[in-house]
Amino acid sequence: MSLPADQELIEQWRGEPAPLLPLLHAFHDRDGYLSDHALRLIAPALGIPLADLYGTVTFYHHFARDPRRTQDAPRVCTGPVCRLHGGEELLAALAHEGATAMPCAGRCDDPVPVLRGHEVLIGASPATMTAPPPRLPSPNPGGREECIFAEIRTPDRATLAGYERTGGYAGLTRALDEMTPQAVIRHVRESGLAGRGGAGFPTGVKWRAVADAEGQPKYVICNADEGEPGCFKDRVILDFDPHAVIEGMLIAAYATGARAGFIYLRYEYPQSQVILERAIEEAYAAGYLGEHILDSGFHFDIYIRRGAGAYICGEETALLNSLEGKHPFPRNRPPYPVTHGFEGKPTAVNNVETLAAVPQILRREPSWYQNLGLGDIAGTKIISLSGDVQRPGNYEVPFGLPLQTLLYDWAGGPLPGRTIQAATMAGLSGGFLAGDDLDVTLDEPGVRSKGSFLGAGGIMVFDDRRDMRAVTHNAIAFFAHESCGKCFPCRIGTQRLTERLNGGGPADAAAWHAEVADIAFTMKETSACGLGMAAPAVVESFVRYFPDQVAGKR
Amino acid sequence: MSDELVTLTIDDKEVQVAPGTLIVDAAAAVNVEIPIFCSHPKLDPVACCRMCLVEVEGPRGPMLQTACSVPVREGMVVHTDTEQVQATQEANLAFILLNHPLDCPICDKGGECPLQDQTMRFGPGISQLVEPKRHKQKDYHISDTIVLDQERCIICWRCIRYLEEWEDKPQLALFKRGGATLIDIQPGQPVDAKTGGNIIDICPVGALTSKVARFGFRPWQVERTPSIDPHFSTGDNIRIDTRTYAIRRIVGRENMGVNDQWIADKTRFAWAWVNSDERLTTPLVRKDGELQPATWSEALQAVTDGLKRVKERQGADAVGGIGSAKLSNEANYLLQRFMRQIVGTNNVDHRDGGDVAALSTGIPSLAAVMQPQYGPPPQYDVIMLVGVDPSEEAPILDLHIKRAVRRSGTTLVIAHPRHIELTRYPGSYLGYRPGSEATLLNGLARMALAVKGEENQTVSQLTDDATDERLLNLCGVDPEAVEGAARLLVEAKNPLILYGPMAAQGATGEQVRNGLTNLAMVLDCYENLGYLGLNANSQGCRDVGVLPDALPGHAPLDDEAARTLLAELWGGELPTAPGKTYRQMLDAAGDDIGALLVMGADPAGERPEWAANLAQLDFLAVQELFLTDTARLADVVLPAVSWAEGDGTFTNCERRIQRAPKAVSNPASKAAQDWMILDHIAAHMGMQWPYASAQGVLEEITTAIPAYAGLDWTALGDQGVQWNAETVRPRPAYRRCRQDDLPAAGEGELALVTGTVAYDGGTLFRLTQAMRDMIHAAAVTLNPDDAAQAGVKDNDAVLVRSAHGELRLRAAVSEEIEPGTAWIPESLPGAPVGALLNGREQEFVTITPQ
Ligand SMILES: Cc1cc2nc3c(=O)[nH]c(=O)nc-3n(C[C@H](O)[C@H](O)[C@H](O)COP(=O)(O)O)c2cc1C
Ligand code: SF4
Ligand code: SF4
Ligand code: FES
Repeated sequence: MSLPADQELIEQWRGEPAPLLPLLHAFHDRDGYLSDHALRLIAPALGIPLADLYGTVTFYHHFARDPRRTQDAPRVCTGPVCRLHGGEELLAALAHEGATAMPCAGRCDDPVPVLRGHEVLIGASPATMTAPPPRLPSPNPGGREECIFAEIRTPDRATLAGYERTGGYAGLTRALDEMTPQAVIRHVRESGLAGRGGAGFPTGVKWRAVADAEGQPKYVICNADEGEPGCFKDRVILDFDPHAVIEGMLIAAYATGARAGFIYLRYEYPQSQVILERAIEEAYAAGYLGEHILDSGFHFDIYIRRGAGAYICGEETALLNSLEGKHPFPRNRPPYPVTHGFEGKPTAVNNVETLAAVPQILRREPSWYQNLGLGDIAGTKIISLSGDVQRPGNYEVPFGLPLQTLLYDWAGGPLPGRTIQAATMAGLSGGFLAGDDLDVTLDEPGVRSKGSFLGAGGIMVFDDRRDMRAVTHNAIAFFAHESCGKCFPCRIGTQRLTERLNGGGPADAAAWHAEVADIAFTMKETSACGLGMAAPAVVESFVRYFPDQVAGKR
Repeated sequence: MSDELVTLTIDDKEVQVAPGTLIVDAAAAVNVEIPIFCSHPKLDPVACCRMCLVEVEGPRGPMLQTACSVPVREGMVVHTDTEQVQATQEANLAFILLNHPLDCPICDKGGECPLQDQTMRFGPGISQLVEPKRHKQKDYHISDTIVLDQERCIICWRCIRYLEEWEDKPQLALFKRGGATLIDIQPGQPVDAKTGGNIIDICPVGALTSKVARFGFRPWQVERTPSIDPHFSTGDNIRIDTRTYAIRRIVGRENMGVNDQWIADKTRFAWAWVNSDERLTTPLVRKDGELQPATWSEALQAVTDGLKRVKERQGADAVGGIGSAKLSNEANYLLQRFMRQIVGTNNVDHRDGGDVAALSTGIPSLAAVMQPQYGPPPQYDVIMLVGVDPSEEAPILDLHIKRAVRRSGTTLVIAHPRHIELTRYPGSYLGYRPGSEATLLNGLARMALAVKGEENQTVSQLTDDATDERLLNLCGVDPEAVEGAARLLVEAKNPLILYGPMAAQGATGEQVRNGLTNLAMVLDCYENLGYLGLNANSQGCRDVGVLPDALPGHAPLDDEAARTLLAELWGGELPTAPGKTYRQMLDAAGDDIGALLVMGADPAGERPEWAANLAQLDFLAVQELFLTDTARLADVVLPAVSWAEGDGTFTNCERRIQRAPKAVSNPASKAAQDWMILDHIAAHMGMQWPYASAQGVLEEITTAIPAYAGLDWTALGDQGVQWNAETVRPRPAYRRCRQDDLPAAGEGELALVTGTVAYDGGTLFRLTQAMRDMIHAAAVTLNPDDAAQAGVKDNDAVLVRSAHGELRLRAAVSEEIEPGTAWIPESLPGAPVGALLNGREQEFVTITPQ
């Protein structure tokens, strides 16, 4: 089979929406790396200044720029959990193949993932690496009623037929047949559904703002960048329930008046892309996407856009810049994406989990979702649980479930003979909880009362064997690696904290603590986006909970 | 935007500002200073340094917000001095310092560095964190003239923003990410924006430095003189920093009526010539056929003798004076006074003077084209350029135009034989054949009437030569394109029309000016018609009467009021017969013209034919900075000083009279100011003039020219003053505009297009070592089709031949050149395009491979 010519690739993408990333990927996939020649063709074709394009390409870590080290060179996950399972050793063992490290690749329940071209391999050593299918969420141990996972274990749920058999597209049908967009928004608002991407913003309120905003066309964006270490819930939803996400986007589009949508998928999920593409194709064929959906006057198209290795692209405004082919820095707010989003038009950016909940809610009454929560907080949250527990995996918990119940009753507690030393919150962004503070309920008010936050719901457990200084050092090194570099406090602060966790800083303990506190203070107060504000939490909580380890290992 | 002001409170002070004002600027209005780094008053905010965080009271308590990016709201309450704010500022500053090499003692910015200043004022005093600094490239040339020190760079993004927002040449970008983030160019593509050097001025640390000025001084040692640019007609405001008798640096100076705060790279970097060893430092007199050093009195006597001899033998009208639009009003004024009063002839002119049908009023106003960062939009929604290329001829006007196009939606209509750089913007482009301007303009006027659906017998008759057939065959322009351009102009609310000397020279110049006037009148924008000269004093040179057919103040030779006024000022009678133009004097040199006094011009270098004529003169005196081709032919060479070495005023293209005070001097040189040289020649010829200084000459100018009344040295101040165009603007009148048929191109012939480029081979440019590689190559550029026809490839050596002469050049092949034309700029190193010219509107050349 002959490879497509330069011009074919350019012609294929030039007229498409958000063309830069797919065009870069097209050349990257064809050549195995991005050549100067390719960039010099792409820049004028898309009207991007050459220097900007060079700069932007060097921002993304998965674009190979060297013909001797192409995208087929293995990338080995050295995220917090994979490190506990031999990630570093695997990296060393693959060094002869030009292997490089990558941050958490979202398989914490299945370590250690290795990305090679478009394949994800799993294994602890080169000899045992296989390409197993992703893991289904295990049955709900507490017998609690679920929302998102309610049907996910039904065979064939990922196909259109299977999806329709289990109530799929009933929510959309109901919305189109019986409800005005305003009624859909009211319904979602009354359900109490809030963003599951980390910030927890009420979904109905966001949609209302987009619906009310001036400017056309409007957009719905599904944030599937899932870059937070220790989070792998969006991947499971995409892999096993892609139509739920599509249906969620359709309902969001109907409610907000959007005509087109994007799914921004992280680079590390190539399998999910295949599954999503197939599902979208099916949905078009069945009339759920495209023009006159279900014979109504409603039209909607979905485009998949693949990231290229940058955690910050999960931040919604950086994501928008990335889609637009700009340098993926977060934008200054205001204005917010709801009024000035993709190409300056009103845009609803929602997390995969948020969108997947919507069809279920639309099929039922708002109170149903409300009542799924145990306390004051409505609904459920998927927790990606990993690390030193017996049964890591994704669990859909009702808000208000005690953390201890999840850790011990649902996930079987620590490994035999071990005790739990600490658990991270919000992936890494919430820092650690330890000791008595592990006695919290899983909802924002509960976790925040301990100085952390639940966020996207990644929890990584570290038992008493673990060197928490090393864990903290790697965690802050992750933030330094992923800081976009736009704002001074985060760009510089993440570096400085990393150095301090690695033997740097003053020898005098009091001075060391004062410096760390100063840096953390500056970052939290002055950073421009959530990354820089959250990054010091791992260091601060480490210092707070483990003063002995600070003193001992510095 | 609504006019209602927003009221807010900053540190308990109430302030009212326009809506949209940023907190940082509102604070400045009540003298509250908020520290900033990344923010710049002339760039869009990015809010990346976070230095400017202030507390803004909100429903959920005070919030820290970036004052540089958040606009004011009604009733907003801002605190800039709380403990919280101070703590974050200190901590943040410590951060920045931490990442900075702190090599202040060797840094060019030391002493004028915002980082240093802010550390003193807002910082903790010392860097509390001791770290290994980043190690990146320290001596990295991002262009021939600009050096980047990546270690010093704090990544504030100002340089990137300038090139993007003003130049529309985003050649610098951010590379990589996080702590590894770098400012860089795309490999192999240096910054080539014509005003790129401005990023040096706005860099808040010493990360960007000028290759020509580096290490030449410490900022606190220099003396700073506010002055103006000597190259371009916009009169961009500059500051000259000098030390020990030498210029050390030139930087931009703000003038919101002229250049905002930007200057061209040629202005910033090309001043090595002032300090050059090649400068003339002593008078030279030809003895035994050789130019030999002489005393001033010998030289002045030789001039007196020479001029008197020719005048006696051939009459006053055999003597001529050539002035220069590169020199001050004072020098030029005295030259014409000398010729008119002492020699008794109107033979006084300058290049692009009497040979060009200019407008006495220049262009309406630069401010009206400008789109400052915060301020009113430009007044013109369509700008038409006729035979003007601002990118090469007036880079700061180019900047203003680009900004107007990109920020305010101004549309361009460009009529030019070459695809000039500004054609990259949407609008209308009419690539006409040189020499066919008048017909093209008639076509536009007729189409404009048609689009408006108006009948106008007068205009129809006066412009009747512009048939579709002639537009196509004579002008080489598609009539539909002409109609499209006319439509843009008619639909414009307020169009501006600018033309340059290239479009209106020689015999047809008058016709072109008529055509432009007719068009402007049809469009109802007569006052918006402007003429853009090429040199720093193109306007002033005309104002003060260095024209063969006009007295100072644009008065016709027979204007009784002006004659009386001047006669009273000077005493004696003024000559009445019109003089010869620049070209006429040079064509007649050695024939009807027996003696020339040339001040700051080099016609011999312009055309070989003129060099030959000058050699035939009975007497030639030259006032010059350098031993030019013309000076080499002279009997007497009088060493002059430059614009930086003496006081003088210059009038820019929008009639703004500006001061260029003495900034530097060379004590070892005997060179003198041009006005003073003329004053001494006059004295030797027996006429005692009353001037004690350049200011004294200006004093007289303010009397001689009614429009200049009251505009003496003090009144002009540091920002200059525009004189009122209404005092001299001719009454609008439709006039006949007609273009004779032009000879058609013969087999293999191409129409020659010439004009000015910023980076030419002239002395002023060539002496700047760092910019040598930027000089336009000695090349002829032609369209790929014509190149194929002629059998030449890019970079081939070729012979270019016209009816008058030939040149050996390299070929360059480019789509930018219209088919059927060949582009050779003026003043190329060693290749005067004048060798091919004989003063006709249109010249044809053939190109053959060597
Ligand atoms: C550094 C950073 C990374 C983020 N990464 C993600 C992500 O991978 N996926 C996601 O859905 N939201 C992410 N977010 C949150 C998004 O900015 C945004 O709030 C979210 O996509 C909105 O969707 P929701 O309202 O449905 O939660 C991130 C935020 C920050 C500050
Ligand atoms: S906080 Fe960090 S990631 Fe966010 S904008 Fe600033 S540098 Fe970029
Ligand atoms: S070079 Fe100067 S202007 Fe440019 S980003 Fe660095 S510090 Fe800012
Ligand atoms: S000056 Fe406001 S963030 Fe830099």
